[in-house]
Amino acid sequence: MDHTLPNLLSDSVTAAMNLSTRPATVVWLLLTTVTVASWLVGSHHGPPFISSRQAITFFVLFVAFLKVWLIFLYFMDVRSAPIALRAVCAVWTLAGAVSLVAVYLTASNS
Amino acid sequence: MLILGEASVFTLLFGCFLYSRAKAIDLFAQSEAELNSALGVTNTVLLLTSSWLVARAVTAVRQGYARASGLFGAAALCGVGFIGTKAAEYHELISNGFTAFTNPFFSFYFAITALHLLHVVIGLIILLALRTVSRRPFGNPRQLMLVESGGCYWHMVDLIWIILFPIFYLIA
Repeated sequence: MDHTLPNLLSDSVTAAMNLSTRPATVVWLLLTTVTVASWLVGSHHGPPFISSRQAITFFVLFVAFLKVWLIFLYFMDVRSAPIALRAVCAVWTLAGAVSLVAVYLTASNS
Repeated sequence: MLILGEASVFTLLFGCFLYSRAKAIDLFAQSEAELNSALGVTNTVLLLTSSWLVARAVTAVRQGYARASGLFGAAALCGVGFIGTKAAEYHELISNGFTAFTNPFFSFYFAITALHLLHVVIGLIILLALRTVSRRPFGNPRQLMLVESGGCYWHMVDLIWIILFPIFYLIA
């Protein structure tokens, strides 16, 4: 094994780089798994623990916006952004989810 | 702000769709059943993977690594895959007699997915540009900012699809 200084430095930087991309990789695996699982389990029958159409819609929207939040945090790196930007993204995500649920509820009950 | 603005426009369209869906739930549910959800989930995985590759590429650019160019190229390939899958899906639907004029569900479906597809094409051009410029190390922070902005545009394309896919394909 070659322990010269340039190789040790190169190995350290490579390790640091792998660490810095690992959260994004974990999130990618999680999002892909949840997407495929939700398609396999819920595309026709809905999650087994939810029976009503409205509840299924809310659940689907909740999961979708949770994924959006993870994309903000780990792909767009908002987690290391200034707090003002993090707040704007958080408010947008929450407002998006709430507004879609509100529209659907209003239309269903009118 | 541009990215949140674009995403907000799509959210407004999703709201209009959900409102119409609630008013004609049986028609919409029947129409949803005609969509090929396997192609839809394929596209979701392609965009998630491309977004992951872009995130890794931007990190590589920050650290001055040349492999950023390859990562942007791989992300662009995923984008091309998305366009191909979408074309196949449109072909299948149109061959089965479903167009934007069939009923309100398909009007929404074709309009919103076509608008998203336009953003995918724009994003693809941006990715190819990033692939070219990231072949050499960057000399100033402004160049890095442009790369990060381009990457964020692609993440927005992914983010919109993440909401679009379950609304059109999974709510039964």
